[in-house]
Amino acid sequence: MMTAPLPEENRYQALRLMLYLAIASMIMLFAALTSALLVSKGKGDWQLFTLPPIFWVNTLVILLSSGSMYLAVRSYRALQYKPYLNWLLATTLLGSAFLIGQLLGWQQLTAGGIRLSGNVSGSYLYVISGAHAVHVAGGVVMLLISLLRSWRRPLNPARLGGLQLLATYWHFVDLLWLYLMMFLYFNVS
Amino acid sequence: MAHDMQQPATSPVTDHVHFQTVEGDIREPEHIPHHKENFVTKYIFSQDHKTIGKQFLITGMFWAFVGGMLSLIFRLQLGYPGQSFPILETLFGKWAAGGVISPEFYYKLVTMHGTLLVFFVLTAGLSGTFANLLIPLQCGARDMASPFLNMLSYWFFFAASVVMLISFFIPDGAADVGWTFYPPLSGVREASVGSRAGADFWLISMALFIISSLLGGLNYITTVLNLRTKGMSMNRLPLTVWALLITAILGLISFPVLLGAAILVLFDRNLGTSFFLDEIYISGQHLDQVGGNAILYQHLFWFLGHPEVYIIILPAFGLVSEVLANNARKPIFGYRAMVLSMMAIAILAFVVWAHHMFVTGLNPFVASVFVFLTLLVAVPSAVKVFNWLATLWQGNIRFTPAMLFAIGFVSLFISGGLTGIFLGNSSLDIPLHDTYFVVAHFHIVMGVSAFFGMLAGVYHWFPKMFGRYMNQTLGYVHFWVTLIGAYLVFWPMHYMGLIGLPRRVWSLDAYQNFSMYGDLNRFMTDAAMLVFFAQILFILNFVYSIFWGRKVTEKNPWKSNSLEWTTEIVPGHGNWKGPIPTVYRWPYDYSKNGEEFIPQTVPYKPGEEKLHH
Repeated sequence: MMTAPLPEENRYQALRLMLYLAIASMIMLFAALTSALLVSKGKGDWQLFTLPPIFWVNTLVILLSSGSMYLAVRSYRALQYKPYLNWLLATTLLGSAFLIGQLLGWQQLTAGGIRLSGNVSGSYLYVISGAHAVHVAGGVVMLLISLLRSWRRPLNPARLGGLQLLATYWHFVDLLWLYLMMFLYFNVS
Repeated sequence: MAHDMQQPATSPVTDHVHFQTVEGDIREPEHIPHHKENFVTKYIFSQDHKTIGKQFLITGMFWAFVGGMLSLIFRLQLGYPGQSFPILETLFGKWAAGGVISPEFYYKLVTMHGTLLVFFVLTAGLSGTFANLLIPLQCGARDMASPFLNMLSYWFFFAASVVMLISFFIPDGAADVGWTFYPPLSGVREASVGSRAGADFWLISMALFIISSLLGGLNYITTVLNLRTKGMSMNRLPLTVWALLITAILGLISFPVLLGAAILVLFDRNLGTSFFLDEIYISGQHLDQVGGNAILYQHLFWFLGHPEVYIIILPAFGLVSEVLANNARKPIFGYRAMVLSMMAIAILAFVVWAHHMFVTGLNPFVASVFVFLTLLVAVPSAVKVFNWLATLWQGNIRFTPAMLFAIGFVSLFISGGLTGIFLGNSSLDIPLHDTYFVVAHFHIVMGVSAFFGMLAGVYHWFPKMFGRYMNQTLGYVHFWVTLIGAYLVFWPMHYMGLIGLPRRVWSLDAYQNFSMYGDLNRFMTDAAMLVFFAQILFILNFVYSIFWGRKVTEKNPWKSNSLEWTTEIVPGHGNWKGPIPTVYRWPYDYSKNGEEFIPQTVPYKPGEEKLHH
């Protein structure tokens, strides 16, 4: 195949726009789910319960992962291979820890009598946090791919844009969780 | 030229306007030897936007045939109630025992007719075809921003199609709960035959369809915003591209909401939640699920559902505007007003959804707000109609089949739009709701209109797609039979609806006062068959012309200004052999200064007046 190098700047510019558009549609999905929750709540028959305590730990974990993602990008920009790899690994681990934590949280909930098929307030919690977890899982997969690609390979400054896209997505799922956590705290507990 | 793509492939491309794919490497124009395409990469898993467009078109045509066929079968029941058609029993077995279709089968037919036509034909088949074909060609790009995601978009649509098709053949048959999929009928497996596995298939198929539509939309928007050729400012874009861009934005914002609703229904059906279910008795049995809200589903559904009807009609607006201006040999009247009115329609699309819900016990004050917003839609719609008519006014019209369909579109859009004013008023909608008046309204203004826009597009761009012309005579026959036939099918429905005839009823025998419509119903069924046979004529013409149609011998057969006609007659992957042309003017300089047409690639002459900039 005859190829010529792409002007990376432009390539990432198009990808960045695509990512923003995809984020807009994800925001619409969660706007739909959270506004549905408000409508259901307004109908009455709404059971309040305490959020599983581990959700707060998970919130801290995903916040920290945004920090480590930021440091990974900074190290990449400075072309520091070792710190970059470490921070990226830290982000992947924190992201996985968040997912495991959410799983434990659902177990705590079920053990406490809040079942998926119980009162609709609990059902919303499972569906909303579940849909968010799917988005985080997608991010973790992308992080793993980045890790594999960077393994024992010198950093290519031209590929910084790809990492920045991943970082944008990662900060988005982090912010999204902060919103969802606050929203759930005020509406189901 | 700085943006020349003809340089040797080994030298780095310094140009920052015409980079092409984001997946990997620049696709070199056809004459530079590059990776070999085999049958699979060229026709099946193709990443060429033109091939993907044709794939969407042909899949859409398949579904249009199936969806149209379904409507004929249920029209048989309406036109000839109780009459036995043994062939139906041969074809459908227990669903049409004794040659009469059963009520369950009737509901499956109307559900799948609506689903297929709204989503698979007039969304995927229309937007998918023309956004893919025209956006890169008319913007001056070698392909979409991400050809790979674009290919995925088609294959997700294909997967959705396969799942939907399988649901036709499972023991309980396809879904029968209406294309709007309202719970509790859709939310409880025991509610009806088609609430069983068929409804799960429907939901999974729609989830795949939504992913396809989102992937496509990301590409269309990014391509229009990032990959236009030099000189192609936004206000020099053909109206087709504007329409397809606004359509994609609407889809991107509204489809995720439908996805959310579909997920919640899936949970209600299969995991015991009660988002939409409350205090339901089925055959004397009380269901466990309580505390849900069925009206909530309608809010979620129509928040997508209303923008969806504009997702269907906007591409038709764009195609018709382009075909009208080109064949009237006149500049489009009010280019800027056309763009602004499409934007206004897109914004209003999101704040009128509750006009589908006037009979749900909506607060009358809230209803009055939605009435006001709904009637506002008439303003940009009227602007567009005025501009189309003004474009035709004193034009030097070429009555090609494409042009006839474009003019037919304007006629249908006016006829159907006027009844929208009736239905937009909550006080009138309450008696008219769920009657044949509504069926008449949306079939004319959205269904048949969008079809006319699509057919105008197919006739007009067929030479670009296949390098051959479609047969004109068959095109004229197709047009006249379809236009007259469609009016004959749908016009009488207004009168039936005004007197209260309810839609979605298998047999009208239960209502003595509607028995007088027996003859009229038979007439409409016969007219529907006539229209359907005209579409078969079109399909035959389409297939015949792909292989044996008259060959196109010039690059620009319609003497058009837009960029797609500056490519080779059948452009290869990469679209232009040489550099992508630069654009100097808008695409509607027709009959200017004694010249019949001035393509966008022609620079202004010294002192030439700018009609548009």
